[in-house]
Amino acid sequence: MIYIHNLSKSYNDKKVLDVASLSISEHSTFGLVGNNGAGKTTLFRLILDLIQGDSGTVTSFGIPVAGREEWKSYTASFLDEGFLIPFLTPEEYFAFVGKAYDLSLTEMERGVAAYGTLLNGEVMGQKKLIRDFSIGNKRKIGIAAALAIRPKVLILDEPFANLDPSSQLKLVKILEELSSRRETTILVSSHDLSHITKVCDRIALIEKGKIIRDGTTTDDTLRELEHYFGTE
Amino acid sequence: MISWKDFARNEWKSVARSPIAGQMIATRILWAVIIFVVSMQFIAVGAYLPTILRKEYHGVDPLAAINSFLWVYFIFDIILRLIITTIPSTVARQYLPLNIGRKTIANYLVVKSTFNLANAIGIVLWLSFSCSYFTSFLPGFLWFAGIIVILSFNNLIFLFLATLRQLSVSIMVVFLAGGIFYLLQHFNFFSFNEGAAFFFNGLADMQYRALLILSFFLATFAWFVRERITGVLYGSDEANVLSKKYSVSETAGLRFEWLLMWRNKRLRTMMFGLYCFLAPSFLLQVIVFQSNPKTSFGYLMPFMMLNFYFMTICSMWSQLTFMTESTFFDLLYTLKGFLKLYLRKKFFFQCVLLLAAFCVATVAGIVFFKKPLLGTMVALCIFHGGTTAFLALFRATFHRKRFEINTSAWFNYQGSSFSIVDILIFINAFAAPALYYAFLKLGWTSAVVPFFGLVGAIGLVFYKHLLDMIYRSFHKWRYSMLEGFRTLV
Repeated sequence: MIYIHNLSKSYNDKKVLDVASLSISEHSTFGLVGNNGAGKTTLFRLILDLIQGDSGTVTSFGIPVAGREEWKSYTASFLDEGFLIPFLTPEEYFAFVGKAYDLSLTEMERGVAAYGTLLNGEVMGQKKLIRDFSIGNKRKIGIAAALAIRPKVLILDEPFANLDPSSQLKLVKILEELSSRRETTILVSSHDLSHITKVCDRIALIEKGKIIRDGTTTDDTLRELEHYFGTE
Repeated sequence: MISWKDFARNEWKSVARSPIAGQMIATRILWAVIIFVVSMQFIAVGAYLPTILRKEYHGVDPLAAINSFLWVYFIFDIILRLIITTIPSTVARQYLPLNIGRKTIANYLVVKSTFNLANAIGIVLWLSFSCSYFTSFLPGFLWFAGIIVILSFNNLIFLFLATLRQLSVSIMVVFLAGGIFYLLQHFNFFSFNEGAAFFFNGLADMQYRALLILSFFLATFAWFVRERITGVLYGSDEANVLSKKYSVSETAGLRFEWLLMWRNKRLRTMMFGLYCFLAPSFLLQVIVFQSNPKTSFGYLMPFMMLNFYFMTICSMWSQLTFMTESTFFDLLYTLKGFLKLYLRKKFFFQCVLLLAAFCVATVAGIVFFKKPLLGTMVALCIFHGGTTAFLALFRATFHRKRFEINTSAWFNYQGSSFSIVDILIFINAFAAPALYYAFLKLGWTSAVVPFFGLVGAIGLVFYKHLLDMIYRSFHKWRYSMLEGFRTLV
């Protein structure tokens, strides 16, 4: 499980994240929603040890993420295009990522092929470098790489953003299936309330760096969130 | 697991596939020729250096002469890194979220920085010198290895300080330390030359004790530094957020141009690249000219070469600031009549920078030759104002692909590099000194100043027409330029 205790982060004396306590149980699918600048990405970056927290700790299955690296071997993530290596082809990138996780080329190819529907035949075998793909396809490459290594913990930041409607629905289906298998702990943030309520069994609402609502997803969750964000 | 081979392979791909390398075979051949020519220049200089120094220093060991200046070189190296470069973890961003150990990433950053192209030029010079000076392999190898150790060590210190993200404090500390060293030397408590002799000269006499002691201290400190780096090596996420305070999206006046230049990490790092490129030449000139100012006129040509490089690059600065404008170039096009004004402002800004370069070059002339070389310097300043400044603006109209900056290429220094189109501007850096040399060789010495002055003056007299031409060129290529600026963000 992932456990967060007293985690805070400030930029220029402005506190952008302040989470007293949060635990995400194993094999659960945890959703994070909030307005722009609420602290969703900052929280994920802290969980991935990509930025240094001012205080507090994050542990992943008992391993503190800051200072130790064992958690990396079972964690996959895609937050933004900075996670991609622009001068590689998608095939080369998948092979590189696979190697980082000690997967053979065949294993990685098999892993990517499992999510071939998401890539929609627009990515593989195109003889194009990642930097030459559209933003949507770049995101698909990053998400597919994270999925392909079959991680124990999967972290995706706004995975539906910039995807075409059919890819969004495919990704929803993939995440639902992954969630139903109960083998992976999934953390997803999104602005798409309908998708996230469909995928996640628990949703937290973050505002100005604080988690102000956290609960199991029910039939009413979507309506409540829409009400909160003023769309209803 | 990821090995060094994988990193090296990625580095090679980043170079070979970068837009800078170009897609056309002709572009690649051109690059290869340029790299070959520049490398051969430095190899030749390094090989000939012992002969020059023996002649100039009359009995002084050339190695001792070089060593005595290495301190200055390395201290300047670390100071400039602190001032100019950005947090280097930005070039390792893709690797940070993957299952790759941070120690591996820290090692990768240090090696990448040590052997980037800018340093490599210096390294070629020292390698050539060591091959030429030392008659047996071992001392030559150890001396050269010592240089690499110190360069890497400077990288480590920089990485260490950068990860502290307290650069302003670090810069103050370094300057304070520099000031104290200077005062100690001034009042004869300490001598850089004697210090250098203590550390380096042992090598020349096959006495390795000093080097071993130095290496031991460096290695111990390096270990500590690396541990510190790996503990706090955070990605560019941190750096990006911190640099957000520098983002500016409006335009006004020369002051704003300065702000854009200074606050743009690519420009700052490019300045560093320039320094690395010129540092070995500078060092060479200091050694040669300071040794014997009376005979140094024999070396006027290399000095003028340096000035051509220097002034050309200075006149490029303003053009380079186009990189910073990607966020509001659309706006420039939508405001009626603004682009023309904007180009004029760019041109005048280049002139201001040229004047600054002129002052520096003139002072350098006084220092090296004990006379100002005023006529030549004025002619060069006018020449660049009337030619390079316009070439630089014209270059900006090229297709977007050539604007693109691949932050991962090996010859980028931590996020910056030149595009192949910059060769257009280098014409003045390479062709003009050749012309200058030809004039001197033909004995038309008195024609040098009028010729260069006249060419520049013609450009300056017709500056309005030339700016109009450039404006038309901007207009013609507007769509690709706009696209290029958008994708540059």
